[in-house]
Amino acid sequence: MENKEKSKGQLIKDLNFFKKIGIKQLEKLGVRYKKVDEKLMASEGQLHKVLATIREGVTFSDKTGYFYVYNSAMEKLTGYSLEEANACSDFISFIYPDPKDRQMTLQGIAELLEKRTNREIETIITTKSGQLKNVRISSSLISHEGHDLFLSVYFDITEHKRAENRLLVLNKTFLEFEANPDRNISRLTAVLGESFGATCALYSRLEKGMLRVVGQWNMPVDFSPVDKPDGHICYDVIRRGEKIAIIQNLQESPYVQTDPNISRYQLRTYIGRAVRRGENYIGSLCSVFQRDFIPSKDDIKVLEIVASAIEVEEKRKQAEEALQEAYTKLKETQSQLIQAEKMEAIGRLASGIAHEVRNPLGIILQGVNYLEENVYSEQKDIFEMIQTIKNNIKRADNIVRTLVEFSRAGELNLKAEDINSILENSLVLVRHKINPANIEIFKELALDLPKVLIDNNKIEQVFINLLLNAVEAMSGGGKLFIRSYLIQLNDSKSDAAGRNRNYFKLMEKAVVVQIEDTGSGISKESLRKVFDPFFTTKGSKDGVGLGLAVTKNIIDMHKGIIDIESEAGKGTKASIILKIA
Amino acid sequence: MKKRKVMVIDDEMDFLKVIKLNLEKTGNYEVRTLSTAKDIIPEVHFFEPDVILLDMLMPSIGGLDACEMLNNDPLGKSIPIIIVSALDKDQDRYLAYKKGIIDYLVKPIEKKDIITAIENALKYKR
Repeated sequence: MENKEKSKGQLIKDLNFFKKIGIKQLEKLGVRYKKVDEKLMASEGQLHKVLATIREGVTFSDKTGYFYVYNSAMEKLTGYSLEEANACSDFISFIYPDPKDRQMTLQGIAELLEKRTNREIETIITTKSGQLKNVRISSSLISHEGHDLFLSVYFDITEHKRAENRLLVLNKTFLEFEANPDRNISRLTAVLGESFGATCALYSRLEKGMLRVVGQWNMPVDFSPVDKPDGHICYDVIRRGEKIAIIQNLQESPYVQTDPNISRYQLRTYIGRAVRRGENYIGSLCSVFQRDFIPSKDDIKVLEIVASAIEVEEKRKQAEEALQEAYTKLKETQSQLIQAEKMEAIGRLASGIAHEVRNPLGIILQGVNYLEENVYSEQKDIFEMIQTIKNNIKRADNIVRTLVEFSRAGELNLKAEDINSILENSLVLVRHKINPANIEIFKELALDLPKVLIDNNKIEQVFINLLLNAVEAMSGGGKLFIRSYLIQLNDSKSDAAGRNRNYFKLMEKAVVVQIEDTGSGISKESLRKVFDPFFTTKGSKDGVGLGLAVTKNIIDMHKGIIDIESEAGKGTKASIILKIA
Repeated sequence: MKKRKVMVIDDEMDFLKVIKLNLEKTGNYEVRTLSTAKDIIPEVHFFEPDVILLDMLMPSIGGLDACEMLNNDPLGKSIPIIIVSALDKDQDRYLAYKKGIIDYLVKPIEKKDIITAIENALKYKR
């Protein structure tokens, strides 16, 4: 109390002392101002001016907490004026309401008095308006006429601390990243929301024409995770590939008409950024506020960092998806191949049995034919017996035919398909092999071909097989002809036996697919064996030789025809003839 | 009426036996059988058949190879060929027709069907 009654004269005396010692102390404490001309410092007014221009809070007080000097930066920092600070009996309790912070400050003062060396502490003060501020306080003790006086400089490190915290949070998030990109994206979204102190934060991705929420923080429970994109700010941000989109006063913006969330959740501010995957913008990261919010430079930086991190995750997700897809496709192809090989083996076995059974049946039938001409007409019982034998020859023949057809039918999933599109599809799948091989592709696909009755997957396998063979035959480059056209089968000059069991009837129309290369070709010797299982001209490393055997079996299953013409050194032409649906 | 000459090539001896009996019994055909296509060209020049019945699957030289050999011979290429085989896939049929055969018959087959095919083939000179 006695301090408050100090006369103005005393105050001026103290200030004069301060003039002499204080400047040096201030410099020691790191207050950033240039050495000022002694003359300039000669008056009290000038000193106040200097203190007023210093950005850091500067105080000069005694043990009781009475402030002799309390500059304008200090007023700004605490919200309290010099008069207010001196008017309250326990200012320390005011600005350090948290006992922990207060304890630290008081301990600092005690140590300063004891050790009499400069002290520096970091603490949190509470301003008049209740705001928390991080400060670093440098204090030193000055003896003046037997009194201990404190010179303190307050550095406001709130922003610095906030940035540091953000970095820590970001770092922690990165360290805790998981294998699942979507979950990481979710965490990153939360980091943005928390860091901004937003109402909520959201990352949504454009998927199959819909806006789908991938990451969310603090979103209301009734928020729809999938929505049509039109009218949403996020959609416009994505479409425009906006680096930074800040929309204030949302309630007055045109979006209030198109985006129902704005009025529903009384949003006032939107801050967002488009996120891309490769070349394309596919998502948007945003924070929304129910209050006005003007982002600082640091805020924008945080948005940038989080968005970039999401872009990395998106890229990873894309790679993962591609890998997954390739793996699934590989698995599928593998199992199809195993299945096809099985079917080929069964088909081969059945055909072999059929052939072996039909030969003796043919002999029996001819023998019976011979016998029946040597039977007299009155020997009815013998005629009957011969007829019975003939019926049973046909029966045995039918059994082996059924066996062959059953083994070929396999699990065909027959549908009327456009052969050209399957051909194009197969071509896409082997592009990676064609492109680097210096091979020119000539497509001669007939338009308006009738549809063919085929199992799309199996025929695709046939085309891939033939295309890969063609590419392998042209290791030094060449021309690849891919043709499709309609033919009429009219090779037969006679149909003596009236065979209705023919798959292709005479004059029937069929679709031909032709794959021709200008590669190494196949020798006459080898050409005869190309369809034999395990026959190969490649080293054991490159193939086990089931390719064409399987190919032929698939065509057999379709009751189609495969024809391979080739000349060593000139190239190979593979033709496939398929039934019209 | 002059007997028409039929050459039958098949690796099944029993088949050769019965078909020779059956065709010759009609009194219209003179039949010569071969169990392999190895000597087909000299045999054709010796016998000068009007029609050839040919099996598909034979050891060493198959039906398609035999067709090829005949096609490369001035006399051979003029003789109509009928395939008589236990193979019944269109695939095999297609390849055989590509070699210029006249007809394709699948075993087991009735004698009368073989005769119809022979008579049809005889009308057609390659």
